[in-house]
Amino acid sequence: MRLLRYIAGRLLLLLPVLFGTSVLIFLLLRLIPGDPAQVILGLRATPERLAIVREELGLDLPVHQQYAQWLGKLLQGDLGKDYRSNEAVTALLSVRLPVTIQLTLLSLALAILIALPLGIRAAIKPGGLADRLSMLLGLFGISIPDFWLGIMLILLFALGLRMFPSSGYVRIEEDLIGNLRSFFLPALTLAVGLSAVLVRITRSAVLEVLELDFVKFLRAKGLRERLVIYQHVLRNASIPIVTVIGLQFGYLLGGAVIVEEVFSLPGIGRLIVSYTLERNYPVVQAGMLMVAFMFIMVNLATDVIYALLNPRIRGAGS
Amino acid sequence: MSLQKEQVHDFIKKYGEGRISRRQFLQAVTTVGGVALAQSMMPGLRLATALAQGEPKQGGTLVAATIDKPVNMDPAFAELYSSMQVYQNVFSKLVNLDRNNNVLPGLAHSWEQLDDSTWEFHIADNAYFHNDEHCTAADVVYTFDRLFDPDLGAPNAVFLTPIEGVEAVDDYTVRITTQPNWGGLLEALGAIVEVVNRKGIEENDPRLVPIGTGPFKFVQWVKDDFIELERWDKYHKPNQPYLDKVIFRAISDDTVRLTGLQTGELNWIEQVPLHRADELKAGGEIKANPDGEFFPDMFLINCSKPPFDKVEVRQALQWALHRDSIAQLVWFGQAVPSAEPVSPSNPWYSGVNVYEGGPDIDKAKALLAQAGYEDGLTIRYAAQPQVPTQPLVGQLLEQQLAPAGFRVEVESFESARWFEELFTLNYEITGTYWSATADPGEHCLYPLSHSQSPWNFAAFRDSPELDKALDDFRFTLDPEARQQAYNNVVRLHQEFSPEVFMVNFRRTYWTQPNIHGAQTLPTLELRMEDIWIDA
Repeated sequence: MRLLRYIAGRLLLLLPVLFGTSVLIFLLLRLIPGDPAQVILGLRATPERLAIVREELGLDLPVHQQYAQWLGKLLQGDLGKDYRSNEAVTALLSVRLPVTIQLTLLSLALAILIALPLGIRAAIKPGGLADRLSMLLGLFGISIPDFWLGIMLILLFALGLRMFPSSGYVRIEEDLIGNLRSFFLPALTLAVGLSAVLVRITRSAVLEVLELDFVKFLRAKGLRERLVIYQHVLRNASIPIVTVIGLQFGYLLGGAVIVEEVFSLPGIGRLIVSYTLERNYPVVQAGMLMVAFMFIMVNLATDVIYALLNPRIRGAGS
Repeated sequence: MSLQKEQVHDFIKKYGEGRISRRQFLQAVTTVGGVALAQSMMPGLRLATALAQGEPKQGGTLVAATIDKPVNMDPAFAELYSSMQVYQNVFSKLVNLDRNNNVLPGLAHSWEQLDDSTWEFHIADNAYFHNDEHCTAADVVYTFDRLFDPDLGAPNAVFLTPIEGVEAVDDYTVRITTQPNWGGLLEALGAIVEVVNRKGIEENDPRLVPIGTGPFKFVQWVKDDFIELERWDKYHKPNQPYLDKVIFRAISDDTVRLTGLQTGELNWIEQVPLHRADELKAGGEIKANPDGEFFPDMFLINCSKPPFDKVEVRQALQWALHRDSIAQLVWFGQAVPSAEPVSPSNPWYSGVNVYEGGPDIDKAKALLAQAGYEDGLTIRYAAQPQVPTQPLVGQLLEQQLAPAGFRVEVESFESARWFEELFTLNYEITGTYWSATADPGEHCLYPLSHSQSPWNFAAFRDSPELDKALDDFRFTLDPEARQQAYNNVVRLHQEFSPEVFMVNFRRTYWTQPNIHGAQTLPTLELRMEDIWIDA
């Protein structure tokens, strides 16, 4: 019951946060220089055409009126239309959102698969092979830029070994295997950076718990080492790990921009970047709001997992 | 009216022996119903193609990767080259242009010039739009009416201002009336007028669903992913297109695009990393198709305020510029230095260079002193980082212009900011490219430099001499006289230098070795109807 109250409280907080985010996104976009009408018409614009297009797009109105119009439509589920193509923004997002979500989740899964076992092994035997590997991964993963790693992986796995496609996207409903193959290299590219952070956090968190008295007690009473580590130590070390995973979800959404560009994936990150350059306000506003919403929801999920893992947090939250 | 066979062959012979110029040859073609001539030549051309590459084969899917994503499929709003690359395969134009700017039949199988302002075009009677509507002269008239509709505000209408009327003579004959002696009609029709259908425009959003009579029918567009076109079985040209399907993808990274071609995921790509072009051409693993320098790269100079309001400063810039090193260091030799919109391989090339013998630092310094800048001056170069060559050009300019006394500050602006700098005339000097080599006088120098043009981004307005030269050029029909008028425009343009042409980028299309028929055209359209796959 306390947990449910905790979740309800957090959900209520969502509304002002989303409202504030929408105001910020809307204002920031209008504060940056650049006229959407000029971008739409390009070099071939004339002052007359610019004025017409600005009027058509409602850009001649005061900013607060523009915001009110946008918010009014947003509350009715209308995210507006792409300035250039006149396509509904909801249609644009509905195609791209699954791509970014799948990429993020696969990257997260890969990173956890790499980092958790390695971090735990590194903590159990400091100075051993796993520890050295974890240090190497930590250094490599954090230092290497995504775009460079992505291209290297393409050259190795697509051009050299011909194991995976170099770019593009196969929809999951068309071909599951093809879909997973098309996501493997981009997900790996993102996962390397994330696992670098995660492996160091896992190592230090597990190491810290291993030194606590209750672990000595568990070992002394003869509990099997596997149970000590996976049932007791990992649970107690999981708070910082979950925190980092939650925070890194935001990193993945941001990092996905570059990876989506390199691998030509039609995701939301690529959409936001290209449409920001065009000052295509409705698309960028909706895309940013969607990313912010996802980020907030993941943080909420993280908080709920905290509460599940640690009953003291539930009490504090309520 | 058509030519007799003997006359046809006589013209071909004379042209082949170089006894008549290309322009004279074209004049003969256009004034006496010469499309028959072009048609009579086609079997020969096709035979040559067949001998070189084997007989075209039907079938197959071509996956093509361009650099940029398309944004709009409405041909009235040819905003971006990346959009045109796709939709030009969906629509037909009245005429087409080949690699040497020769005019070939398109939707019109023949045409004739009745007098110095009246042309008649005879369109195919077997052309159908992709919505199964029969294409008639009324559709051509509708196309022009739509382009000229002030409420629509089609930007390309500026190229067609000399057109005074378009009417349907009968179902398959269109009469176009122009201002007297306008010499740019055929090139304009071959470059920018795609024929649309009223029902197709009104029943769908033309920005999203293009409906033309072209060789390929639009199937679907998954934004930021791919566009799918399929063979139009009712295409008016027999046996074409050869491909069953064309998939367009946009991959911005040169290396990723190249890898896709090398692994076989892609069949056709637009560009490889420039520094690898020569090595890849020699390697033979992939095929470099017939290319051409159809992409003039230039500086726009803001003539409305100091320091570039003084012609001496602009001329000093010309004298200090070292085009060869820019072509080598920025484009890795994949561009040809040129002081005009076209390169020597283009039939329009004038060879005029007022700054012949440059760079000449002494002359540049003397001109700056004459303009009152004895101690040199600081200038701002606005580069767009998303055009990778522009920041590199900026870095080179810093070095090249310094000895003359120019202290160059390179500023980076993403596209929206760059447009703002341009339109508010806040910039001093910036780089851009222009794709108008099919008729460089009409489609490049006129819109950029005529004082009355809305595209005079250099704000170069006080130029009655250049205006007159441009007007003389536009309204000259005789090919020889027109070329002379063009040469004169180039000379005056170089003297006033509101823009400075730098290099002409060689655009190469790369394919797998079994892809045939690909070539770069001066209109930069990707004419997929000519491409076939040797399975």
